[in-house]
Amino acid sequence: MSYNDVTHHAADDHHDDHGHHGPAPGLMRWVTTTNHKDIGTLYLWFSLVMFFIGGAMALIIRAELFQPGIQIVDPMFFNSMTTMHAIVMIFGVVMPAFVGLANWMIPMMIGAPDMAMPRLNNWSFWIMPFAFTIMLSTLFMDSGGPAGGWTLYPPLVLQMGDSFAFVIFAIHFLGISSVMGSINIVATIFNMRPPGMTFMKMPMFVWTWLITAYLLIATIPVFAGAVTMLLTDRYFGTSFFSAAGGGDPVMFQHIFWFFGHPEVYILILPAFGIVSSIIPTFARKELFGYDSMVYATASIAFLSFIVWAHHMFTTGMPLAGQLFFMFSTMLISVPTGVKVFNWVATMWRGSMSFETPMLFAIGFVIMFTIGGLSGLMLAITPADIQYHDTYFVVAHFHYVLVPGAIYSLMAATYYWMPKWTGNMYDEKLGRMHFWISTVFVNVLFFPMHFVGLAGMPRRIPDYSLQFADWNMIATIGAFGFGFSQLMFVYIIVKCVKGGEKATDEVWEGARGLEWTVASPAPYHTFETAPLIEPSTVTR
Amino acid sequence: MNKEQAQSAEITPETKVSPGYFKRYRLALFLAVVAICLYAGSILYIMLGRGQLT
Repeated sequence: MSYNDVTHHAADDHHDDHGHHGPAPGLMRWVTTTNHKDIGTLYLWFSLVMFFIGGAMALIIRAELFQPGIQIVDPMFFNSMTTMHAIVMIFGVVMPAFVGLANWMIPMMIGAPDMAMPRLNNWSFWIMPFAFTIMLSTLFMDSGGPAGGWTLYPPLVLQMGDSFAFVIFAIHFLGISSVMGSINIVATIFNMRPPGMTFMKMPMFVWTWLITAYLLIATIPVFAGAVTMLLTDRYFGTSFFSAAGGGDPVMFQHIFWFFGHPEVYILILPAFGIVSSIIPTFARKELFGYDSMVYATASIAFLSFIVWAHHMFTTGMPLAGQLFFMFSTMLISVPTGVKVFNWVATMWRGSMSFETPMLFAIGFVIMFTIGGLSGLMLAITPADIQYHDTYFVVAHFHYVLVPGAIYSLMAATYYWMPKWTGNMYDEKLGRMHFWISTVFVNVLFFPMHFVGLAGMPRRIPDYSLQFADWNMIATIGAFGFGFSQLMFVYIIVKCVKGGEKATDEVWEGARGLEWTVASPAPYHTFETAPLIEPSTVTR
Repeated sequence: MNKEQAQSAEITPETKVSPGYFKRYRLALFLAVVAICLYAGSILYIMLGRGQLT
């Protein structure tokens, strides 16, 4: 039956699944599934597991830094932990979690029956556990895991042990998975929208993912090219980045950050989309400045390609280059400021309520802005030369990524979980989870600004006595934040197992097609393309 | 949109025609080609553009 070959009522899909098979029984359901909801669920559970693996690595780092001196682990293992923590959190947690949300929500938000290429979708997911098994297995090798930092800078990274080839192999596979997933998302949004669902009627989450998918397609292959060249430098005698053979190590940094800076926006644009969905719901108002949100997202994506060398001010570059990258970086604060303004304007005089998704969304707006402001400080070339490779940078990007990207993921989980499971989560525990997390995340990351400004270098297992107090406080915050996430797991498991039944609309102020289907969302939705009238509220 | 507003789209004769493989997947194939070109291009740029291959 083709997409348009159906005549029955779209919103009644959940009542009449006749003629369609449901999920396959047993474990094979998850191995062979091509259903976007199943694959979304796989991505989300995978990222939750990886969140705890990456989190355990963070706690090893913080435990070592609890006091000055070498305390618990040897420096090489410490370096492995900083490297693997970053790779796991970026490629194994934030990116798959957003892809999981995209799988679950984009078809339902635009009124499509599934992703455009369901088999490719299955493949995109199942490459990831394979790649991460290879990558994590390096920790058990004699030479240890990768320890040169997630940026893989040569010549340091070329001195790694045998784990190097495994890591490069795994990165290639993760890249293939990401590119295939992105192509699928672009094809879905372009080809699977029902009649009447114009681009400017799409929810912001769909818009942000469309732009993110383009960023992925444009940057991941370049990163793959760079690590392929590292591989040939190491094993096949080339000298792309080896100065001894006439190569240029700084060139690697340029290529890496041409990928790496758009990657930062890959990690945050879908978060913007989530927050843009949640705040209007709980403010019971339409999103303020929808059009400007779309244009701001596109502007951020464009600017992300012309700012990469702000990561490299200390490598030395011509004054014109320093000025260009400084000003282009500062320019990003304009569309980002538009977004923050619009979120606040959406809340302004709204009939607000503060359920857990809204708490996490507001936490996101405030704390992401703190990370954005320290980013603006880092954009200033002469200041950056002082801050470079200090804990100030660590504080900056953790504010953007933890109470930023991770908070948006938690907000999204609480927001859409009733639609996924058909059950309401425990609201009291959810709010407790938010407040405990928020206290500890600030105890963890805010002191890093102080030790960074005082000159404490990053990626070092030992440090000067003058930094001892704030490091001890940060470690207490880390363990508090880490263990408070067990609450998150408990709340999810409790919600999956049962609880108060969710209504179809779930939230009083919810808008969009995903809320017109039953809770829990039936296995097949929108097999009949819904007719979207100009007056239909879809976002 | 509520349930009352949700209606099925009209079937037109054009929608019943199944397009060929390349036409059907032209967007996905185009994006895949772009990705492959970027991968190869980044390596070729350094080999040729930066004088690594002389």
